Amino acid sequence: MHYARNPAVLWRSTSRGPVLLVPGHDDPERLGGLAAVVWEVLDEPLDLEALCDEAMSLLDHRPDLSPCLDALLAAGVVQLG
Amino acid sequence: MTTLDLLRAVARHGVVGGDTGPVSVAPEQVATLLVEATAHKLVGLLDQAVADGVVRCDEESAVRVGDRAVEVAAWSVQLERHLLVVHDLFDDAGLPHRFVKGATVAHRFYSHPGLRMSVDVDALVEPAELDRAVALLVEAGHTRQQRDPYPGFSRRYAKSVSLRSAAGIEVDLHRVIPDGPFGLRASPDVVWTRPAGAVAVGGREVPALDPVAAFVQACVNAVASYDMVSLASLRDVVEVAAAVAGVVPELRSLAAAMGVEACLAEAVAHAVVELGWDAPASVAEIARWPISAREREWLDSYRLRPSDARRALLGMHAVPGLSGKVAYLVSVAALSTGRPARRRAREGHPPRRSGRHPR
Repeated sequence: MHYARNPAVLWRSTSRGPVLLVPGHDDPERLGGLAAVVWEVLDEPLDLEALCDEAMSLLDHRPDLSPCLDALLAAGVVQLG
Repeated sequence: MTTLDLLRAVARHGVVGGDTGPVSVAPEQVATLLVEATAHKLVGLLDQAVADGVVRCDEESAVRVGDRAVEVAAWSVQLERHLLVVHDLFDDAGLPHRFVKGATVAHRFYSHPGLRMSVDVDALVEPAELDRAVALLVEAGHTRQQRDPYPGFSRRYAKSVSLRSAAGIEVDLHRVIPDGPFGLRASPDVVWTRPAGAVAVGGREVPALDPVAAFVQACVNAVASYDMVSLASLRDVVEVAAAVAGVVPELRSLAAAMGVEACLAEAVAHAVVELGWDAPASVAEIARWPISAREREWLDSYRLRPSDARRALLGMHAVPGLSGKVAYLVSVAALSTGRPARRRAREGHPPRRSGRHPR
């Protein structure tokens, strides 16, 4: 199973984190923290292991991404394929 | 260092040959810098330049720049959502269209779209379809910003028609690519003989100018517009050039057919000077294409912002054929008699936008 950005999400990168407009949402929102890291490293689909490796390269530790990914999946920001 | 010098350093950041080393911004300069960066559509590039250490400032200033970039990014994605609405509207009605500038340049030619700021949605439609395109948007809740001075005027002579959605998003429907005399000189049909390009927005493909036509558009926009010419428009010339450096003969052929070779020469020359651009040899050659005395007069007129009467005279020179000139003069003269008519005449031209605010 691979995680991927929802291609229907409109977005822009900024120094303060990615700004996303998710289909069905009225307003754009800025991602911060782990969610921002997940979005940035998912410029290509990755499985959970590879996703954690990529995130670790940006952080000082290996993060537990499961809660963050669950929230991003529920919000329609990322998808499983 | 002046604000304009700072902006020029920002616009140069990442341009081949353009970077000149770090520049510093004092805290008291930041407010003005953000206003001018917005006017020049450089907020995304400024944010990147601060992140890369090319523009140096204190932490608080960096946060202000980042926050402004977030606002601009939020507006850009809302514009893209509206672009998709306009696309669906035209597509469902079978109305041919090509999106220009904005998202179509940001997504295809910049290293990431956040570097290229947009303020509105721009679409090119065939002149014969302009009235139908306007009607479709009005039916969908948009408000036309300028009335047609008389039926058919915009379809024949205007550069574009501006409409505004209920949410305040401006949609510019372009009849031709160049403003003023260059726009009146050649048939707008030329660009429609080319296959459309495509750009992915929100996982969907929407029609855009192909890269060759996009480069011509970028050059024309940089030097042949009565709107404020931003440094970002010169940056567009640099970014799109990378995609067309190998097809300069095709570029010249299209530019000649559109009567805008002089615009390409002027735009490339300006980009080289203003951005310190070390252009690919094939593209640098464009700056040496000849510019006639009349074309020089036209190019200068965009910067000098002439009166409506002067613009009409320049336009008359540009319209091909005696009967075309007579028809153009009759149209303009009919608009210039009486105060209401003068107002309508002004409304027949695209507005001179300040470009100081993204919305």
